Amino acid sequence: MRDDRLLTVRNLKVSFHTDLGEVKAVDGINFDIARNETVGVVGESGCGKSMTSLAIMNMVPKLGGSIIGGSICYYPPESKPVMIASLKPNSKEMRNIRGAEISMIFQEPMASLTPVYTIGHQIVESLMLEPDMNKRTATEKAYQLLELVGITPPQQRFREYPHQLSGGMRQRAMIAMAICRDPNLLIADEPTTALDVTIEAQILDLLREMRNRFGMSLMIITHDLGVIGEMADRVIVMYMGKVVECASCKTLFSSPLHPYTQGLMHSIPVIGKKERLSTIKGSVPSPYDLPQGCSFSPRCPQAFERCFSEDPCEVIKETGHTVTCWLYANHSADCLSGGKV
Amino acid sequence: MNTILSVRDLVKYFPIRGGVFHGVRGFVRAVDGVDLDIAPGETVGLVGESGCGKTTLGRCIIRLHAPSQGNIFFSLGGKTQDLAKMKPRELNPIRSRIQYVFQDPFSSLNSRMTIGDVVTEPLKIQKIGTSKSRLQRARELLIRVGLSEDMLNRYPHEFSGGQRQRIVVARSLVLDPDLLICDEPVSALDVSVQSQVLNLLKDLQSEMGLTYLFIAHDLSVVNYVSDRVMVMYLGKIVEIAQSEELYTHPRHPYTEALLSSIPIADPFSETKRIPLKGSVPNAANPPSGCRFHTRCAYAQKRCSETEPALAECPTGSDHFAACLRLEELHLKGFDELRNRGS
Repeated sequence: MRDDRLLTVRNLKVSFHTDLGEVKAVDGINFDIARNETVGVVGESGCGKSMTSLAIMNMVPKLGGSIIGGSICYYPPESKPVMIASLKPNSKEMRNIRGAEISMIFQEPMASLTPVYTIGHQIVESLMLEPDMNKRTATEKAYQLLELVGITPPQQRFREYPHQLSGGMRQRAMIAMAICRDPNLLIADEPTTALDVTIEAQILDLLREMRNRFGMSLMIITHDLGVIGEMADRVIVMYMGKVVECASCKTLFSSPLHPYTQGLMHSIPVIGKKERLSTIKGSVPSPYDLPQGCSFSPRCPQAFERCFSEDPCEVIKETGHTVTCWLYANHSADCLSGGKV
Repeated sequence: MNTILSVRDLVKYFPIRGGVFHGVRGFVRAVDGVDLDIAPGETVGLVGESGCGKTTLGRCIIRLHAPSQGNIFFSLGGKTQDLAKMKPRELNPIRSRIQYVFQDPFSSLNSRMTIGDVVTEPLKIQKIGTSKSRLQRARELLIRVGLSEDMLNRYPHEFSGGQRQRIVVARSLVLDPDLLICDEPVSALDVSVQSQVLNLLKDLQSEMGLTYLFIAHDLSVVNYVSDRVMVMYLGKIVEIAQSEELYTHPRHPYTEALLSSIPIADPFSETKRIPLKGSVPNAANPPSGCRFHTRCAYAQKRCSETEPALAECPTGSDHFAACLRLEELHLKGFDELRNRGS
């Protein structure tokens, strides 16, 4: 595990200053991503999952937002580790990492492609950032990439603008752009949320194929447990800026520990079962007015006094299954300072 | 069959205009000959990809769009009326019997009206009760949908998505309608709130004897709420069956492909995917013959020539599908498509 790690995030905090006060979008989270691993991050809107991914790209929106603490360490295969969080967002080092080492695709492909340039132009543009690249080789490579992601015929599509492509095709073009410089980590932020089921299945298959072909690690951010179940090796569950549970996909689905994860799993309809869905009571609290203690405590069916007064700490089970909940911290020995064991 | 709503051969074409004189260049065939029956107290699910015409169909039924052709028979107290032929003014009393729940609770509530105004407005328009009795009715409904009565004087922006959708549901129920058309009522909501709204809709149905037309793209949600499910593709219904029957024994290749595409929250099962080539063709220029043949894994030459009609399946049991190869194909159901290992 030690040697095949690609990215470690420790005690990361991202915060926004707004007129209504400070919002802790990401509040002290820890996780690792190993080489060739697919990590799924699941949570509801506003839980900080997108902000985590933007922090890894060092692209936290400048308007009031900043990384206020913690570290993100990226381990390139053949050189020294890089501390991403301490680099300047527009520094040369950071720009060399973005796209070439860590790349990202977004939810709304239309919003993330430029409408005034052709698809081909945009792929060539990112390819030209490679040292010793000339236009002819870049164009050749762009044709190959388009073919690879299933945009055919590539020579014709190369000259088309984003508005001429369908939603699924645009997302394929985004994937082609994201993988064109052979990154080690691809972050996909809700890659299929805007797409229909049939197209969603195609895009998930494509992502899986590209991951295996290029030996990338994949970080999939989604609110859909179905996508997680299809894709992920390991799952991180987030709630109100915190990681509440982290386990291998199979462990998480067969024995979820955190009451929030359990609630989520039981509240999604399953085909073939018509029993009444169980629900999580209430709704996500306002980020300006977080509850005392565990932020899930007002909605938690198993909460007891301690949950309403003290922040829970991370408990690590034998199998590497971690859960941030007082229910599992029987002995104070389970739980060392700040949740770090 | 005793029906509350029966739609016959409903067609809605939207003109495409262009050129110097803004002339009609063609038509988008959003809904192209749909038949549909809904029995009182039933929930009919309507699924399909975006752009297949499911929202247009829903909007034609309440006459937010005027249909280009066809009949919409709505039965009320032994009297049957054809909504498609009625003038806007004549529709007013009908409007209180059919209500609509929109997809996005953020744009379907007027941000300048208090919740009390929003919920009592339908009563005001229908001239029912006094302002006092209207507020009383609004109070009761807010409590029924799980909100508190002190919310009457607050504005929509103060509420979360789930709460807003509850307000929308309260507004649609204030006139005590018979038929509720729910257009993607939960797709804009968070996962943990989705199930609350689904359960609420189910409870209200059994309490008030409502009939639902439930439009959604999420097949697991539709399976949960519906008695019968209709699958729509490019303006046409391709399959109708009882919910369980449809999911276990689909008879149309499109339904099978949809079932195989659903991402399943179960890492222990493996899915056999039926590849569906490309995306939905342009509704302004639909393919010849069977509209699905361009993407169908089982298509033959004749599929591009003859257009199949909705026909009863050999197994019977109210199962209809529009496929030329209906009798030869043996399609896999949801469970067969997945190998549940451990």
